Amino acid sequence: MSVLNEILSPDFLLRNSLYISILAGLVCPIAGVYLVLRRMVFLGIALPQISSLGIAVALTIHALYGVHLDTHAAEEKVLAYAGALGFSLIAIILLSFAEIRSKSNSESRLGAVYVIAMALSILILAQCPNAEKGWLNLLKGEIIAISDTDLIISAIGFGIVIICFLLFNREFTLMSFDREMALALRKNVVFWDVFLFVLLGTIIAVSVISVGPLVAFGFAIIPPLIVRHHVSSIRAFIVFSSLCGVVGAFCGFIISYKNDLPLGPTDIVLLGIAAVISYLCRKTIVFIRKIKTIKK
Amino acid sequence: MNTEWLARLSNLSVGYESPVIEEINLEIRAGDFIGLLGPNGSGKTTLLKTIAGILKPLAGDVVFNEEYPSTVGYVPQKESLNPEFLLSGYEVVLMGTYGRKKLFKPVTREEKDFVVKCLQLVDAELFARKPFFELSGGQRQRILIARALAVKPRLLLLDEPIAGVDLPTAQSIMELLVKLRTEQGIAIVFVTHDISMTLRYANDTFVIHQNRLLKLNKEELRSADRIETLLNVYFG
Repeated sequence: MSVLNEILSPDFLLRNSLYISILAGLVCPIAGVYLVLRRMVFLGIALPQISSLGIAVALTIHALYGVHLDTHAAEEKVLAYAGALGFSLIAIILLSFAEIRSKSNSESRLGAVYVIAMALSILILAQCPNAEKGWLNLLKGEIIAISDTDLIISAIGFGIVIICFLLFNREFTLMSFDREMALALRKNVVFWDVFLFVLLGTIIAVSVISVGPLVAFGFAIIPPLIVRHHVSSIRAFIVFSSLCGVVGAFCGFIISYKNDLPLGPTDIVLLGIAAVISYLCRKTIVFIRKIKTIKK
Repeated sequence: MNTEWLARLSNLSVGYESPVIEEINLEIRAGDFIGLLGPNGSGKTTLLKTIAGILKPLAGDVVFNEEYPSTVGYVPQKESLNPEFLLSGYEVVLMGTYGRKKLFKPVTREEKDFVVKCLQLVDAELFARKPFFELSGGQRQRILIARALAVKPRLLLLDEPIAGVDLPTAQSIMELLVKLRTEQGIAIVFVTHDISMTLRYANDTFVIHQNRLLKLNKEELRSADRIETLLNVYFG
């Protein structure tokens, strides 16, 4: 109880880390739901890695070109946001159109993109040891040094994305469920697809820069996996996935703080345990229903 | 029956990269009931999608009567839809109204009432609240027809509406289409492999043979020789 009181205190030193992981837990599952519905989960793996390649390029560019940054931390952050967003948006648009047009080899293509992005990040960061250290922390899911500015920027980014999803939910559902129907209704399918992918890319990019690729992908994919078979509407799917992400982020933070564990991996392992429990619950329910049917 | 033209296909060639059907000249009129036959890969679906505006013609034109804008309701093959989506039958039908929905505005009460009417018209209101992908093939087909009706179409294009359903269900779907044509005056073009259903219900029958759309005379089709020719088209 004392840990909980300490964490919830407004003066808590790591409060921004708590807030940012809760925000990521709230918003990443929305991207995850759409990736699951559109059968693009592999894109969810590749994208955070490409986003972190963008951060690696942005953080190392000054070292590669011998540019000295006076206000190092602030400019680094701006560069990192630009790198993550730029790489994510370009990649998601190119990859998603490749997904729509090509019917084969999407897994191998995304697998190749993932591993190449990872290798390139390591090669680029080898040019700048300082950037490499920060990037490795991000990769490990160390969510500690979150300034008020970082938190506000992330909250604004996530807020805009959530508003767009609320406003255009029907258009995105129509486009994703039955593209041909949308075309027959004379909808601008390319515009809505690009818009959806830009929103998904923004969620991933802002999450990667805030909590790292591991946590971004984990929060995007595991909560929808936990919730998928227990809901019967898309609205419930999105709401409960986000709720699951928030609860996971909060509980993960308590466990991590109490046991002095890195936050990101703690969150993901906790969500993993919840996914196993959810799977067992589903199997038990199916088993009980079968027995009831046999008895009848 | 009103015989004003709804759509004109002029020197139309359809296909993806190279044409699968060429030089199609056809006028679709109000109240038409057209059956489209052809072997697998002959271009039946491609033609339907081109009329619906989903695919662009490779050559020629599809022109709609300007008096009836947005006149096409398209019913895809039910297997072509993404089963990951947790949508009820009602939500699927509601999509038919999205063509009239203004950006930033919710679907109006009138539109929701109209969706209920469409569901009643196809006898689907009893199972409309169930998850779409948990419905039987025939029920799903009725929902998709209701969705196409929610577009307020003058022309209904159906891609294999009776594929994968049992005979009584297939008959009830065809009877429903007859009812829509008679009561609503909607022109219907449907693609099928079922020659007997086409002969029984369609007013005009077309078959795709050697990249051409051929009109078949119904009386001729009742003769054993012509049916044999048709079967040869299918099975080589």
